[in-house]
Amino acid sequence: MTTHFISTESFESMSFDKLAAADDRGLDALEFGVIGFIRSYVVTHYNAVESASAGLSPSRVIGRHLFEEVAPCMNNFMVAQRFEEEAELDEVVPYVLTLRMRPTPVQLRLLKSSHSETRFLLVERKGNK
Amino acid sequence: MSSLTAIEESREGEHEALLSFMYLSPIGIIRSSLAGEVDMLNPLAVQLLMPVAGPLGIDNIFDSLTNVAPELRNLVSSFAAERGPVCEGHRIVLTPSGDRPTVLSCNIIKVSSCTLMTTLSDISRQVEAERRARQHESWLAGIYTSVNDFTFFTLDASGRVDSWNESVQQLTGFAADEVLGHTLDRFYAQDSVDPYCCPEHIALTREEGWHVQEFWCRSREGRRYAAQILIAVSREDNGEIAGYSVVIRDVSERKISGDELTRLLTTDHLTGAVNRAHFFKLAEKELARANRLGKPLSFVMIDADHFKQVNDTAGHQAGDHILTQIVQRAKSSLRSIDVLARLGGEEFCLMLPGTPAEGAFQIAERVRLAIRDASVETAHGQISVTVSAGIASLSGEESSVSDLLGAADRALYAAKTSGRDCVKLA
Repeated sequence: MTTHFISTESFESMSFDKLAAADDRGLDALEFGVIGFIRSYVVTHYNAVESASAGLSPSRVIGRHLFEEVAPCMNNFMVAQRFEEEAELDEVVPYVLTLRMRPTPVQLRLLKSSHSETRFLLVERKGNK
Repeated sequence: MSSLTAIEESREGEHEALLSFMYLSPIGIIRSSLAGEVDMLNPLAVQLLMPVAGPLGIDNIFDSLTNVAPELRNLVSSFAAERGPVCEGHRIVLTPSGDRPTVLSCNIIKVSSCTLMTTLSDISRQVEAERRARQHESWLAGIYTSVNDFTFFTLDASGRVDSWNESVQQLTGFAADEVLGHTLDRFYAQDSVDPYCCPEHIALTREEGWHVQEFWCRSREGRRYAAQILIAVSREDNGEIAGYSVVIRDVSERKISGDELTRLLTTDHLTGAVNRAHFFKLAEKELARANRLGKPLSFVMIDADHFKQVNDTAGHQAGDHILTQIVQRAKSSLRSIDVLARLGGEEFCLMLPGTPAEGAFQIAERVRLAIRDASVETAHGQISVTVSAGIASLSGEESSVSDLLGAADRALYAAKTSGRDCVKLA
């Protein structure tokens, strides 16, 4: 039920609460990448789209430190420091990721809420590149 | 069948392991064409490049770094060999800001006629450690060098010479009665040292415990020599400053052989203007001096107008020629104490010591007109270029070099938006 419900949400329209309520199957059904992590930056969610585009299986990522062990490219003031310093965050940031070492322009959506222990990073690859 | 699946699986697993190995490399690695178009790069490269590149993006490594290391493109294009190291441990100095990296080390290897491999790593901590090591080294060098080329004596708490020995006369020619009671001004070559040098050196020594500076000195017989002067605080048991110990070393020989090296380390490869790294050092020093002495100080940010068009239509070579001309023209309308630096791409900065905003405006106008009146002969005919400039001056409040440069940058932006070819005050 939940699965069916959230898979229609887009990168922009997805709300924090719906993400937090979704199960793994629900997250896997989404068309954009989702990385969920907790206060200590340990990754708790890694959905199918993100896994396929980065070329890393969830088992290699979940339980690891997001910015130190999984995605060091975002470990700077543009992304990591925002999560560190801001209590509430919902912002889209244009960025470049190195999915399989190829520079890939993406939109990142940084989501953090003071009500929840889990933070999310949504990743949408840009259309024509 | 099942063994085939096992091979496939292990191949996939190995591929994934390799990917994760590359993802975690602590050094940024970039593969590009000779023109800098990025083909592959790892996450650390992105982590380091994105904050520097900003809106320039990271499609092209030279474009991404043009604001901080415009020389890279020239280094690669002037590297004639088919393959080999273009640069090793080349330092890229970033604009100081908070606790972000301040110095990157860059290696570029030309792998073939169409491929470059570049590595980037953050060496901010190492650079800081080196700076400290250099200080210690000159301190020890000051002590261990043979007695012939150094002298040791002491100053009282007010900075006046209160002891004398043979070594003073050997190096400087002055007898006891000619130096006792005098300040270090006694030893300087008056024509090349400003009157505030001595009090400043003492002030820095009080702040840091000890301090080394190089000066031109003049012996009693009139011989000019380059000297390294080290001053260290001597304290009473209660912590009060009792006086100072001074070591003066004659470093003339080293100075001459070191001059060429200094030029290479402090100037921009293409234009001969002061480079970014050296400029920040000079600016910090000048700002501290201006604050201490309550003197005015102005910075002028200068940017060539529509420069991208010149590069696009007449080519990078013509663009480089114009940058060189801008520096020459600007220098011809500056004083000897002014510092002109190339901060990146087509952006320059003027530091005007002892100059308040109005004076800076006049100088900036002079520079603007000198550049506008010049046209440059290129393969695509005569090209003339104009510049816009923004000025920020030290006001009463405490401000950092990056505050002042930021204010000058905003004034420059105002000049750009109000039609270019003009000067604006912050």
